Amino acid sequence: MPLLLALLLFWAAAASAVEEAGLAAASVAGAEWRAEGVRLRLLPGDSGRAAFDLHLDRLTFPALDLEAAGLDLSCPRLRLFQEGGGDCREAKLDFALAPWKRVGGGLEWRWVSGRLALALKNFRLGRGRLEGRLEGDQDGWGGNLNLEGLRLAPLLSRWASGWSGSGALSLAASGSRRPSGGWKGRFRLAASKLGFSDEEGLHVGEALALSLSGKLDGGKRPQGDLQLRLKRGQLYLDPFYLEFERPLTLNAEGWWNEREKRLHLERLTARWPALLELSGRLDWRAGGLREGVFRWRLADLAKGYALLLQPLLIGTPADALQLRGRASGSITLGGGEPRAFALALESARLEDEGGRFGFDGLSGRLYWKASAPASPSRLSWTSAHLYRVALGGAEVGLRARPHRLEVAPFAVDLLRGRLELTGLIISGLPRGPFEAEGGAELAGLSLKALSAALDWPPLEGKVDASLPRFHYAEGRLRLEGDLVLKLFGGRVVVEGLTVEDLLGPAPVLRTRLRLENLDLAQLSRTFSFGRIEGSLEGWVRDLRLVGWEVAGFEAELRSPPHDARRHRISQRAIDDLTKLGNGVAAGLSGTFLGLFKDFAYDRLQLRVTLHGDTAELDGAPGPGGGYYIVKGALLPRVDVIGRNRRVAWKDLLARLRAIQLKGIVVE
Amino acid sequence: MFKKTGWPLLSLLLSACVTINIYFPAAAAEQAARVIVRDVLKNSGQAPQQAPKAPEKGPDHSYLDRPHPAWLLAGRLLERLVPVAEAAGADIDIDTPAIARLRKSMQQRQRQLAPWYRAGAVGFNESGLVQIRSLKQVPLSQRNRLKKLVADENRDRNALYREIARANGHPEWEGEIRKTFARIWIEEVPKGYWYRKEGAWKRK
Repeated sequence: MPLLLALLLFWAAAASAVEEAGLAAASVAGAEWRAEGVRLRLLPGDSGRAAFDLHLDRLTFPALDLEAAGLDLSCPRLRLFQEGGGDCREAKLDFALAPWKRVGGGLEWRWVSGRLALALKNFRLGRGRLEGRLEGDQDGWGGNLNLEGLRLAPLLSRWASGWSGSGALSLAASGSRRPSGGWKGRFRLAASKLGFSDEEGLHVGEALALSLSGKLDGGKRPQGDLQLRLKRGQLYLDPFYLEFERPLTLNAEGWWNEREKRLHLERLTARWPALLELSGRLDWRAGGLREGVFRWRLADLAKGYALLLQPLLIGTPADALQLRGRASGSITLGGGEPRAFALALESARLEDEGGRFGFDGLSGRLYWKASAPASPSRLSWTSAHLYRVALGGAEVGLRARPHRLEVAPFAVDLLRGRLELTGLIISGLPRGPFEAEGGAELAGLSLKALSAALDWPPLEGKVDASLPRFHYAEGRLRLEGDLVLKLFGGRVVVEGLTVEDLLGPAPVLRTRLRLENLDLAQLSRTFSFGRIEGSLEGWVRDLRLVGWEVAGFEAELRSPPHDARRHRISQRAIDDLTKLGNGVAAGLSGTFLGLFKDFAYDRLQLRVTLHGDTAELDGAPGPGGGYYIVKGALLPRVDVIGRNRRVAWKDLLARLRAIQLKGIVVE
Repeated sequence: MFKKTGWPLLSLLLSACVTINIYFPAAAAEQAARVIVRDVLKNSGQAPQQAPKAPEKGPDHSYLDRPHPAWLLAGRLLERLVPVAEAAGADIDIDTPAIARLRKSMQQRQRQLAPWYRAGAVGFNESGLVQIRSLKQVPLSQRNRLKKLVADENRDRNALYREIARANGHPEWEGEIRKTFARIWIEEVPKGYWYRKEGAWKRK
């Protein structure tokens, strides 16, 4: 086409007598373009001057998916030089190009001695304005352009189906091409109040002010650096929400290998003042991350968790943590998988919003490697809590292996006693599902401190216990072996304990209890239930707590046969037991029995079965269809005989709560 | 002859006609679900939809294998002879501390969820859960908060269905209870709320 135009111009210049020349073609095509409806009109003038109009109905570049329609190029003053070449300073170019209605503006060119200079002036792209220059010859090319006010919406509607946008872009760019084929350039793209969204609303920007600038050096292996600065606005890249109260700056420097489809970023940094600093490098080959190494530092752990971690954890038990403090670390990725990481915590605080657990003064260094045992790790805290039970500080040694974390035995103060974890192993790293198993010993736990922590009636005594092995997987905690509690002079053996949905809204605890040789004197003193002397044994089966509240059980408490301890029961204890059965006291003090401080008894027995909201009561077979709760002995003999076998569980609890405990009424 | 072949045959007939009924107290479950759903939705700041015409209280949901017509007549006769093993009307207990806690937790959350139900950002699905229908209506800064609300609500709902089944001594009923709730949620939600049916979102 240019050749055709040149020939025509040459011919017109040579034939000065010609007033107008024209050429028309249905279509003209090149290797990568095609023009249809071509009409060229040439108007020769004096002294080598001429003018021409060129009209194309359609000009297409199939490879670029570009189509210009109704293209008009006019040059009112074309100068042709005797030594060859020419120029045109006031040409106009105008055409329709989707997504804009009309594109056009001023055009200048000059062609002398094999060197071409082109300039676009006040060129319209919708509401955008483009200015640019391009100049060069066979030894190379150079140029620059300035684009202002280019609306984003038409660009997205044309080239990004389903996306919408608002705001405008500006671009300043310059570049050059060397005869060797290499090229280099620099650009700066800027926008303010930019908005965009995909169809689902999962990638959204609002009121964004940003700039993207870079220097690129092309050749066999293009290289360069880019800087993205997000100054204001909000960005939602599902599931992350970022609000740029302070500017976030990202820098990348690296090269691209077209043959290997390899992107290598030698330096990658992110800086978000008062929040995040990150530096690293990555290697991306054939669509996959081959290697990435990053070091990071979070100056504000609370904000870092909210912005970067919590969105990934929604729906897990760790989606409601409150964190404070600082953290730093590194992560190595390979083949799209984490290969190693290191984490350093500095005086951090971690608190579960549901109040289930918390740690204060968390410090330490944790290391993990996918392929080999990592360096030893240490973690310490100054205080902690599990639900409302306070734990003391501790320093813990850890060793991370490829798929598990081993916690060395450690001890921590618990309820004025000690909890010694005899080993804990967490497996399933790094992706889960996680499992944990270990064992523990409890020594000298104060029941008084426990009852105060849990707002229970004040209890007395100490507990020693052994948890041979516990196992946690998929939300289910299981105790393997028996938990033996040494208390009230005897033992309470907890068997088959499981907790399902441990960190869920309604954990379900199931267990069986075996009570052996408990000293009723100590027990009744603890509960201030009126004094009872003797021994107590029994069992609790199918004990089920849902949301830590009793939902069902079957229990029997009784005096052991051949009990070595003396059997005495006080007047008040009889009153309390009667209250428990009937809701009212026996009122022995109002009778002649009030003269006696306590009474002998043969045996105690009470069976309680809770089904739904009703408790069924039973005891030793008694006269007249009743059952003995207390079967008296000797004289004066007092029997407590239950007649009512069904009682609402709520009423029974209320009666228990209403019993006076050492002058305190428990509500 | 009858002594030799009749009694064995009759015994065979009796044993062949044993029908296993797995009763799920559908009517009671529906009533329980409606009580809970209304109780939870009353905190959404908008009155729940008036209940549709109450279904006639029919027999509880049971699965019967249909016998061959030849056996049917014999079956009818045997029904007269063989007492029904389990005929007592079942009830659904929803009065346990755990269920009360879950109801309270869900109730308190409704005030925060209700604007998103009305905006169409969140709807009710066929599994008796809530689901994000479209994030486009939700300001960017509130999206993760809403996602967490939905996750918390579903945690409670899953625990509620499981616990109702457990509290009634039939953990295997969880699926039926979930299905019942899924239907009742949709029946009881106010007009304008969205629900999903057969994979497609619809507006009530």
